[in-house]
Amino acid sequence: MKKISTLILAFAFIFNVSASNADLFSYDLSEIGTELSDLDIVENIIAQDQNSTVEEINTQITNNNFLSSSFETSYNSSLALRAGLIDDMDWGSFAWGFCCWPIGFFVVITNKDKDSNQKKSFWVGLGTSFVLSLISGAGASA
Amino acid sequence: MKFLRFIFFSLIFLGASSLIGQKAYSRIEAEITIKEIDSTSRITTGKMYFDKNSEAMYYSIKYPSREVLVYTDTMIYKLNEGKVLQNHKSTNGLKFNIFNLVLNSQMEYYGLNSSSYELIKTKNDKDQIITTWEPKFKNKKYRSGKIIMSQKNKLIFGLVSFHPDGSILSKQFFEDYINVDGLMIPSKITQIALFKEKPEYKITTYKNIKVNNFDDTKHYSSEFYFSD
Repeated sequence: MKKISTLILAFAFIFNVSASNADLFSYDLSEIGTELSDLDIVENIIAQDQNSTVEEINTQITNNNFLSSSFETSYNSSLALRAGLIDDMDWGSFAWGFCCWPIGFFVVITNKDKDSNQKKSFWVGLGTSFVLSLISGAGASA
Repeated sequence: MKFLRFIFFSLIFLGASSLIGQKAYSRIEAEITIKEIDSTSRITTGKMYFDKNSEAMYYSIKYPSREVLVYTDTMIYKLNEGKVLQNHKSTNGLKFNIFNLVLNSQMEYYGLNSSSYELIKTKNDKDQIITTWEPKFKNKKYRSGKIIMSQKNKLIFGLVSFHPDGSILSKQFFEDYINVDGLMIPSKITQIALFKEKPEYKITTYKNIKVNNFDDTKHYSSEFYFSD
């Protein structure tokens, strides 16, 4: 009896291991089938006319009757998003511009390691500081 | 003695001819389509150019907006008419980029054999070879989990990344391989991110893949480096 139960357990273990590997390297896209077929339609519209402008393509997408739901055309490309090329405030650089711009100029603006977002954030910080000092100066003189 | 001399020169001749026969690949380009589905659906289309020697990947994006992006190992540039409009520090680099791996003949193990991961286990499973990779160094601050890889016919098929707690972070599948001038390149890559509440899908397809296009000077130029 003991031998039989050990054998059953061994079989169950082997089956479980092979099943887990099969599961690990498999995937099912049926859950997103509708979204995928909509994207296929959009892909065809983009591919149809190589000389169309983005606005013309967007109009064709919006007017397409085969899409299951309306397609949002205003978004950033996957590659720009991954690259982080979306304007984000760098608060460290902002603080240099806002609190101590003469030193910040050398730390941020003349520094080749700083990217364009960081440099933009420095100027925004400096501009904010300038506007606030104008307002507080006007308030004090009044 | 004569026989030995014949063998010796034959070996030298064969070795030299096999070296000459090996083709050097340095450039690759393809039309690229990226479909992403999470809380919304998005599509990105364009063309990609990669030169191994200049270590730069040039993307000419057609949709959702016309733009040119250049990825290098440390920086990412947004260009307009050859001038840098915007730049950003890159953390991803090109090391694990699929085309970098293909041109450097590192696709078999997805570059893991020359990374901070080490091979722990190899197992045959029907038509697949399953290998398990673990980080060489256990960093308390930046912990990373194991990676399990599946190969079919000596080509990478699946890659599963785990969190140190054992949960699956993401799955990647490399399919529809095509032979381009002797290089085996997956024309479809499906990525499923599982670390969020709802799975996120990204399907990348490559068409019209060309290698070693030395006639194109515009898209493989590195002049933009000096325009900033």
